[in-house]
Amino acid sequence: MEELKVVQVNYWKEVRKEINTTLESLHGLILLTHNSIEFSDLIDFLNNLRRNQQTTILYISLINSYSHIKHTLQKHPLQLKKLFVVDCVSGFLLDLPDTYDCVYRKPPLNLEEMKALIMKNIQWSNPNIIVVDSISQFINFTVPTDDELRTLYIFLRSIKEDALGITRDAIIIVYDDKMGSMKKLPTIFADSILKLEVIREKPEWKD
Amino acid sequence: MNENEVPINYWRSMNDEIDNVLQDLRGIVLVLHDSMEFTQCLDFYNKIKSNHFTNILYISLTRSYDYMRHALEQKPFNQKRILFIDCVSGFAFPAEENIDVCFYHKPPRDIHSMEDIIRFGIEKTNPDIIIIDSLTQFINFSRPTEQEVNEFYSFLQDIRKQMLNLVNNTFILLFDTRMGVIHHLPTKDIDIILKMEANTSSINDRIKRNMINQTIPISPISI
Repeated sequence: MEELKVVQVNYWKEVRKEINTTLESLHGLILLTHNSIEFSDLIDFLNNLRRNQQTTILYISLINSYSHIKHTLQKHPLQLKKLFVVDCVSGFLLDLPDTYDCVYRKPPLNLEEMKALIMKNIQWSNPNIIVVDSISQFINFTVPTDDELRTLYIFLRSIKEDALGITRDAIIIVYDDKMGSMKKLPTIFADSILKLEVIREKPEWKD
Repeated sequence: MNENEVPINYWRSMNDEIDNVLQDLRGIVLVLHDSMEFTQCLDFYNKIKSNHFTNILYISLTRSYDYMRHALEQKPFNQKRILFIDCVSGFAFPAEENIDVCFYHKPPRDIHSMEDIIRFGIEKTNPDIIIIDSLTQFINFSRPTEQEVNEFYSFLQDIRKQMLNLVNNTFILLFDTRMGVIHHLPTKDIDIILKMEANTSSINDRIKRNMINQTIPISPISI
């Protein structure tokens, strides 16, 4: 059998007990990795951010259509939060007219176009929090090439520099790790890296 | 949590702060890992209380003393004295084979007989750190039975009430996650839960990567 050498060890701390404090103080560039969460799970996560503050969120969606988002929000409403959506799913298929809280756009082809999309829609929605769901289309952290990593780092650094400000103080980059566990974590540019493990199967016991 | 809510385990990356966290590690610590070898965990052990000399009691249910001794010859501990209780070779070796850094013991029948082994080790060495490798023999957190869970919590309570003190202040309980997704993390009576994910590469991977890097030079990122 071929000998395997440990190149890097990623360390994670379980933070359920301190999740409210962690999410309350979440600022800067946040990489949120998950094992295929539903949009409703993301709403739960967003509801825990800045619980008692009126917050505006710009949600750039490459995986959920606005109609799916609206439908989910009826069952799982966002508390004290206003959501603006850039729908890159329906925008790909149909020519739909923009509404006051949603614009339809073609999906970005690379991270450079993603940056342009973010910057353009910041002006329209003036958000406090930006959510990019997701970057899984652009990079696979299980086996990233040096070139992919370099492009990602340039993207992260530039949105940190250009999109973050005093009132716009959190950018959440979502990554679905169903392709495999993340080997290379972009720790240099991300201020926090969180991992959500949703347990779909019902546990047989509880604490 | 209501009936319809799905449980979510929240993890925060600790890569930047792990050295500080491990330097002051105390209490009962559950460490999940993805089938990491003893040699791959040595860096982690070395970082625990790295700023002063410590005694470690290592109770092994998965690897023989011979294997661990060999590994430590290649990569020795810094500022650490280690006493092993080998419950693997304990099947084969008689008690008189004991040497001064290792005791051989029969593997514990259940998690409560494990307590006797820990007490024995504490008496012999009065360690700062006790490592139990691993819990995987006693419980499967993917599909634990109610009895297993109750016994596990009773074990944790015994550790806290009877063994955790000013000197023996850090218990590390290793658990290999190869059994599957952990459906419900046991947060009661555990002070901190850590997860280690090893990023491995084979020699072939490294050769391929070097070849690619030689063909397409990539300039480093300036920060």
